[in-house]
Amino acid sequence: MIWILSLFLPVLLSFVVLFGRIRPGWYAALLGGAAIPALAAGLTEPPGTVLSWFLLESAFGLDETRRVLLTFTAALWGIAGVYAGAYLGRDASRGGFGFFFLLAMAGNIGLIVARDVPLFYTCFVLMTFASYGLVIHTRKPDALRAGRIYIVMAILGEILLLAGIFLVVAEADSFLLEDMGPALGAMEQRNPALLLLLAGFGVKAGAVPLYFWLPLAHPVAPTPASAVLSGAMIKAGLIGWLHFSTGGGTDLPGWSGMIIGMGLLAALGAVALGLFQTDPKTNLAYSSISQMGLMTVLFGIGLASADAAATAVPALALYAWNHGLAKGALFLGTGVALAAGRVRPWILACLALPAAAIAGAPLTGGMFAKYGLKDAAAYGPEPWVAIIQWALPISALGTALLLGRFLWLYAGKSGSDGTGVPPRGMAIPWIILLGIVALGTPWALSHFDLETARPSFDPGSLLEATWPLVAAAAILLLAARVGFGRRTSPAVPPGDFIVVLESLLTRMRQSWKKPGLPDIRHTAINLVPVIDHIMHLETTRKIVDRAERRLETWNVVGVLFIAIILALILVLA
Amino acid sequence: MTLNEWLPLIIVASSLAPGLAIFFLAENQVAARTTLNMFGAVLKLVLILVVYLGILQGNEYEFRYDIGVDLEFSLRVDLLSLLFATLSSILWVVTTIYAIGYLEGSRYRRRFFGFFSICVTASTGIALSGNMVTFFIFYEFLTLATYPLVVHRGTEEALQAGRTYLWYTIGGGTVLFVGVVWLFVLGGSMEFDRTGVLAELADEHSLQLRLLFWVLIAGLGVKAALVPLHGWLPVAMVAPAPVSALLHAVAVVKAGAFGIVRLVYDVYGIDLADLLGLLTPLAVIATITILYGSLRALVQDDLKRRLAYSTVSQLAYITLGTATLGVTASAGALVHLVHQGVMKITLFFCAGNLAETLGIHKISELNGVGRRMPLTMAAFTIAAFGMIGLPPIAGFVSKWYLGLGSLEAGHPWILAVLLTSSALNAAYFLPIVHAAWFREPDREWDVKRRARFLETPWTLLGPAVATATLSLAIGLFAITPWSPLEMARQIAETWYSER
Repeated sequence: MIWILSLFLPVLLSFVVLFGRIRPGWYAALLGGAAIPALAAGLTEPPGTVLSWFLLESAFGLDETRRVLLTFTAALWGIAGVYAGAYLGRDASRGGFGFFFLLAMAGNIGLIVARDVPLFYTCFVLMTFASYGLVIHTRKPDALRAGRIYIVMAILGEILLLAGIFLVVAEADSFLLEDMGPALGAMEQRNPALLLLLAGFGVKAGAVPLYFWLPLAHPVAPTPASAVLSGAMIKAGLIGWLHFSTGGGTDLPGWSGMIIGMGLLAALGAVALGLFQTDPKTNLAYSSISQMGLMTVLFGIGLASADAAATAVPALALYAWNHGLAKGALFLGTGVALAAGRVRPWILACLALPAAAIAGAPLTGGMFAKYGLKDAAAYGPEPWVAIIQWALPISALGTALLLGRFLWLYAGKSGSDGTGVPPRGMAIPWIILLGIVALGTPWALSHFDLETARPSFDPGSLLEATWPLVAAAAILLLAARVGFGRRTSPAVPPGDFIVVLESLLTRMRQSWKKPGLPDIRHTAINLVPVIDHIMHLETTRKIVDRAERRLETWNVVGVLFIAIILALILVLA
Repeated sequence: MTLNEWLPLIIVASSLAPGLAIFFLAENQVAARTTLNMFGAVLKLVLILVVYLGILQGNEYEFRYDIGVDLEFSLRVDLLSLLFATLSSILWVVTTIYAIGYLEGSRYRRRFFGFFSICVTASTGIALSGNMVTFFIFYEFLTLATYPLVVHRGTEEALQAGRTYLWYTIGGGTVLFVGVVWLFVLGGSMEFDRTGVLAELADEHSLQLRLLFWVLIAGLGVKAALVPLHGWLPVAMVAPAPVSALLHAVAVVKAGAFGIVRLVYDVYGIDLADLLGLLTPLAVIATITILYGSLRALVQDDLKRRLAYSTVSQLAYITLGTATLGVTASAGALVHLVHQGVMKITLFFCAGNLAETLGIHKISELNGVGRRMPLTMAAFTIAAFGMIGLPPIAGFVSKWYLGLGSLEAGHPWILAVLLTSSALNAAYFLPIVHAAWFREPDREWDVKRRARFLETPWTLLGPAVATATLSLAIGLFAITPWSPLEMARQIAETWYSER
């Protein structure tokens, strides 16, 4: 029952908020309350179940890894939902927002509790398409642009993903997710399947080089939606990766190395690009890409061997837990400060807590997560063990710099027109989330029997966790003194190389534009711009139209068809 | 003769009799006509249900009549005919309601509803045909019964479309006739339950059998809209919306697809078709059709034309699945026969609603229409998502089985075709959905009809919502025993059980 509720309650409520004219108080309760069954499922360990009448026989259930993921996901969704009530207030479009919010919530929760492929994929799709509504909620030009790029990438990802899923499922001869890992390990076309899955889920996970939609889409959504996009939904790709490729009992050191490399590139590259951003929310989005890069490294390590997976997968769950909650708190914090009208020191101090958690400051969940990563790195394939050891401190410094820059940007944005007191409806859920970030880690740790669960608190380790923060603070202060970082427009446009791609496409479009052609904007969202334009070219249209008109006379058709058939017979006989 | 022998004939007659009776009513006897129509539609549905339950208990339903010269008229109920007959009778009920609302107050309704019923008679006949000869009779009957519906509006454009339609279908019929005669010479009247007849000739007449197959496909391919024989379909969409809906979902195009299914599995048999190397070329033709239809749909601004090209593409999924060896792909093809019908009829109902209520015919006029007609556009959205193959809507189930089946058969390229087609479907359906829900209305609509509480009269809205709900339900509950998927799987298993 709890499984059914955790998936269907948000779906049900999504229609309630869409059609009912709900008052803000109730609205907050409905959006937040929808996540309660899932949270309960995460905390109480109910046995799994099978719905023999639903889809292609749906199975629900959790393992320890996904229990941790579900718990933080549900908590973040619930808190963001309550927050959304105050954030949107009496906004006329809140019905639509709530609808998409709750559907995306259902999808995100469902894909974690799903134990079979059709249900998992259904929920994945539901989340993908519902978040489109969140991204373009404001209908402003930048939101529409972000939405367009998002949906094109999402569909591309979906197609690649489905191709990979089909390959593995056909091999597994079962629809259960736990049979996918072994099937992939045993199958002949393992490499194409793995590549497809890597790319398909990689779009969602913001992996290099498919991440560029993310710094556009995450910041333009309303703040509570940004929080769940960057905190919770971004992990869906990881969950997919884990389901389909680990636990197969086949060591894949080659793939492991490649994925580790990809992850490190994202971890370091996104920091570099993010530092140039001037909008705090975009800065956070780049930080998400960078953090997902480190989680990708953990996933990559897990592919190396069964021993590696036994260490890397729990560490990954812990990392996701810490990052999800803290990133959610950072995004929600930006909205709190904005609503307060003036950034009070206490708000800044509260914002610093999740930032420190992500940067791995002592005693935060981030420190435990970093320990897990370091432990797991020892199981990686050669020569990556050494490279990871070498890259991790740089990444730690980079993360601290990026988030320091975020706080800096934020402090600089302080308006002076407000009272400095944020509305309670936003402040209270935010503070609760901060509490979970600060105190929740032991619960997550209790689910794993790991050495990493108990890092030693000797001066050496404390120093190791502290120096990146101190160094970052020093660098930022120095930079400010010298006058860096005062630009108001970003030196690198958000979404980086997509901008180049976009201008190229626009130029191509202009060169193709001829008078008398229909306005292509309403015929396709440029999903296949090239094909679209070829199809719209006057000459192409003329040729095809003329050919089709020819086909309207029977003798041509008949002769043609018989000719094709004869040709086929000759070729294949 | 017992009742069980008469039942197939009664099922066919249950729409023929009301159809003929309607011709004798006066134009303004609306109540009597509606009663007759609905009585026939519901009676047929009930009878089919009775037969279905009977089949589950192992009863046999067969009607035979000797025409002479070894020709036999035979109606027989097997699971495949039930699948198709159930689809057509359910959608007939819904479309009748829709047509009553759509044509309210217009002229020549007697003619319309008369031929409408006869058209359903023909497609039921096709479903229940027990041999190739009977199939051919009903197949041609269908051509003639649909012509008055296509040209119903009587405009120059409609008459022109009607001419094209006749050129194609009569031409296809002629080729099919040659094929059926040839088949008759080789193997007799070709009862669908005796597949082995042609297999015995395989050694001696293999070239002849191959040529014959392609002649038959050429005949059936016209109605199944295989490229390059699809030209009539986009033209025929000038017909009134309920006709287009029925044409694209169950009647004409499905007759062709159903014929191809019968030909491959029940005339040649899947083993023989495989042995003669007929499957791969058929799959290639289907592939070309799928991609060509989708690409052409992309550039249409006229909503119904875009839907028409989408039909060309989607219909070929059935042929593609039929031409893929293996239970899973065959089940996928059969289930798509049903799913495509339910989803496509929804899309045409919605297009009709937009045209009848707001005078919208073009996609560029759709901006913001979701606010004015939310239920219609919700139905459209569900069906369009289903066409793309997104779960949990019916189209996903089809795609799932076709995709897995293609790998089972060792043809990963078919999977690539299916997924490319999904992407193209997304490219031509999502902009419609986006424009309707997320854009601001940018024009005054030319309001044609008003309803007191609803966005459009319930007779137009109800059918669209009902079929949209159905396409969601058969996807959500695909695994339940009464779903199209389960029926399709049972049928597919019988085809392969003899191997």
